[in-house]
Amino acid sequence: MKNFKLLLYKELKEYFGAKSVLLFLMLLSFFIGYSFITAVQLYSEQSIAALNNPVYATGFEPCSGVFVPTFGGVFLLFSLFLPFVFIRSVYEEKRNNTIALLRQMPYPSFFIIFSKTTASLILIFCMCIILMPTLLLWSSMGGHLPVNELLLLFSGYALYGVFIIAVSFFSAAVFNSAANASIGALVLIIISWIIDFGKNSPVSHIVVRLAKWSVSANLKIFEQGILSFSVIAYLGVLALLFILLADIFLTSFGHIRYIKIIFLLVGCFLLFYLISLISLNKDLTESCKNSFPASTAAALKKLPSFELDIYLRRQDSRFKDFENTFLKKLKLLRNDIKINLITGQKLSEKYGLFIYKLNGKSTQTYSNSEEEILPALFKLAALKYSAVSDGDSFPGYPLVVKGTLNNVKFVYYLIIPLFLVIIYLLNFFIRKKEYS
Amino acid sequence: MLKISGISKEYFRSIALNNISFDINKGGITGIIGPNGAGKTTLLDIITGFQQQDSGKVLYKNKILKSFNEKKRIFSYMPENMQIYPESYTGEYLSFIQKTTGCFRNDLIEILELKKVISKRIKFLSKGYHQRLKIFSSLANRKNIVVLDEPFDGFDPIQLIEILNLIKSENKAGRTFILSIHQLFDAEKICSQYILLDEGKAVASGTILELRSIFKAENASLEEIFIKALS
Repeated sequence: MKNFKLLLYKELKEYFGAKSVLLFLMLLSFFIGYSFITAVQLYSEQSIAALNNPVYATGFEPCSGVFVPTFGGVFLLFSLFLPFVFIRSVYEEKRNNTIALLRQMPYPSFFIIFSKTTASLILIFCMCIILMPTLLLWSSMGGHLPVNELLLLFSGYALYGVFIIAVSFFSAAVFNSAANASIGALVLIIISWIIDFGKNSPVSHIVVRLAKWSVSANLKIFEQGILSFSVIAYLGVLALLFILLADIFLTSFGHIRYIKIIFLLVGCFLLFYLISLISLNKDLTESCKNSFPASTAAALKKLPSFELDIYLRRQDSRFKDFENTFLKKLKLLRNDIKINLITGQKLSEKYGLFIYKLNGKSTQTYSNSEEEILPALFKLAALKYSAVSDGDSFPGYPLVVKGTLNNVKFVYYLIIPLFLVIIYLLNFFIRKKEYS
Repeated sequence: MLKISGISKEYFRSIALNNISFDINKGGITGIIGPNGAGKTTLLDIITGFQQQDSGKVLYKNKILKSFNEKKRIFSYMPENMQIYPESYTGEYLSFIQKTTGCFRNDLIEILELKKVISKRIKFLSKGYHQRLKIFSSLANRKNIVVLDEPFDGFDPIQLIEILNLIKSENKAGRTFILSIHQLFDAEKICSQYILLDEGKAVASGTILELRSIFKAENASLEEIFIKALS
């Protein structure tokens, strides 16, 4: 462990002494500040109408209204700029052949990549710290802080950061030029977006199936306030796969490299399969917008498994409504429901229908609304159902912010960048003094 | 002590090494001599485990060395094309190497005159000092065999004498050296045994006396023998 600490310390010194890291953190501060100001202003403008309207007010959730858009800026920076920060760490070792020096040291070879990963994780943690003042600022404006949802959002983005680290290391380990490594990492990241976009267009069923595994689609689950153990496990294993592949490409060659890769891929795909069987989800939103009321959920759990034929195109707004409300809640509750999205000739014959099949019987409806589907479904199962509200309903947190948000500008456009420059200079002078 | 047996290596059907075999005795300084592209670096990479041979064996004390981990316990390798962390300070780097290997060789720092540049960033060091740092990295450990690829590049004649003396004193202390050298004049000053490589083949091997006898060139210098061997 002593050598691991030495390696970690070396990596941290390199990160915090690098101008590229300083520039990235400063850029991150500006992005967060700008995204936060824009999100608060929009939230505030929309809140005016909700102040005297309790029903409208229930739609105002600080996490999805303010913090998810603020993290949007982080997502862009993480996806498009962060790979360059991390690629450098592995690529420079390869280019300068210091990897040969590190590999000869008296510790296991995997220490090299894992010390780099740990240092990169610490850097991601520092990035999360830069996000923290938004919470204080929001709270000081009188805004409500949904702690669980925010923790989940931070965790989601931290995991996304880990994925970026892993992909960057992999790309730097595989390619022999910095330009190719950068393109490789960006391609891997952007492919995930494209697949995610592609699921809404009639490209191919394969794209729709793959979209479930795209990283950006999985990140949205955190943004929706759903704690999904399968998503956490999937992102963790995916990142580990890329990190181990990077280690193999850095430290093995010849046929041994290929044997290791095959074993690793087989092991990871087996893990992915096992993860797909996990159905352990929890709705962490205060409004419980992703789940049915407790009584309905309990009743739905008792229903035998059923099948649902949907005669709608994926791009149809009615399907999207249905997917984002009833279907999302149902999938969160039950993973044994078979859903068939009908295509071809049959689709045009019965366009717009939803057919529920249970125990050899079926019922059909054109409605995509929960209020109509649930009674029909329970009637089909010959079970009693009464729509019951769970009592304490979510009040909503509209907030009208007066003023020009100068305090946010002060913190994100001046204080944090200045603080980062001071830290950089301090690090520079301490190192210089230490060895003079 | 070290036996290289039938090492061959091809890159995309171009032969880099062709059935190379030789023995290295304990406590010797072996020079791998050859023109550019002869296969010296490939051979050293294979001996130290940084490349995989297509065929052949590397044996140490009659035991075949298969894995990189086995080799890294025995060999300390200084590759020619290594650029030490340019943004680090010399002192920082020396401290990292010593703490990681657990071998605190302040005498080496003195001999290599690295104290003078301890507060300098490595990117600002001259080629000679950079080369000294590389030599320090390969000597500051307890490994039996030190493999140096072109160790004399970048030194002026006075510095070169100091480095040659350092290698000799380390050798006297019981370490075996394998050096890849293209300056034959320098090689003659230090090596006890030579392997002559050309186009991936071992043209000849032995002490200077043995080489003179093989090529029937009495009193010839290494350079003259080498030219004769290649012709």
